[in-house]
Amino acid sequence: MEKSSVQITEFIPQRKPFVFVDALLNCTPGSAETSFAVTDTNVLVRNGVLTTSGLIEHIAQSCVAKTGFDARAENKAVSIGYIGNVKNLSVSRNPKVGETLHTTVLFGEKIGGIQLCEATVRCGDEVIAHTSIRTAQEE
Amino acid sequence: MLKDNLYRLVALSGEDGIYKAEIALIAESPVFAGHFPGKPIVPGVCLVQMTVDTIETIEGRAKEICGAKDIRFTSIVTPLECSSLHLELRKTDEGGRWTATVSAGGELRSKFSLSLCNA
Repeated sequence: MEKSSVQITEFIPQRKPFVFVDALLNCTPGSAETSFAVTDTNVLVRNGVLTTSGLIEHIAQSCVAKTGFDARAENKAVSIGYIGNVKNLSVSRNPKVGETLHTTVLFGEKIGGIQLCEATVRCGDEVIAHTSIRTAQEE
Repeated sequence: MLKDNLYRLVALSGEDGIYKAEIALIAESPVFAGHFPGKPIVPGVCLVQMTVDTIETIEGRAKEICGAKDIRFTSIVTPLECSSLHLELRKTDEGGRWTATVSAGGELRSKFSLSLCNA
């Protein structure tokens, strides 16, 4: 854990072996920042590299972590979240085991319980992936 | 990874850029312990990875998604409700572009438009 001393599982409904965020570093009404270290035990790591499927899951959980954070602040339970769709995804390279991802999520419109987010994934200063994503939470 | 851990590729057929695959889900997979506790649901990204794995089998080399126009999940897949999944894969004329659908029980579950690069 970095700046945050709270377990990330306080904010997301996923549990091992399907946790793709280590820490929620920062959270504002319109944005969130997360980190995630790529390890060789990750179920979506192959030949020492995190697959794009794993990157998408990391992005989705980064979006949902903020929703969970808000729910916790209101003393509500963290609900199960689903990916609705991922649009205009670009990946310049897949991160290796040992690298740490820093992801910035900007929150857009929320219509009928479906939250639009724009996510940028960095390794150090290098942007490695960008996408729009819609997530839905169970009521 | 997921093959033989979350699913098995049961059948693969097709030619000229249009392929069909049948996937059997492994309900005992450890993935379901975390997604979600007491409520097993196949993670949508695992349906994406099954598609990539199957395209690798078709092409006979390692592939990775380097871009995607749209990855859409229309309804969930649970191992209790669906023991098998049907993939339909189409290689488009544009280099590396594939479209795919995942269905179960005759119902469309997901639809993907992916750009694949050599891994």
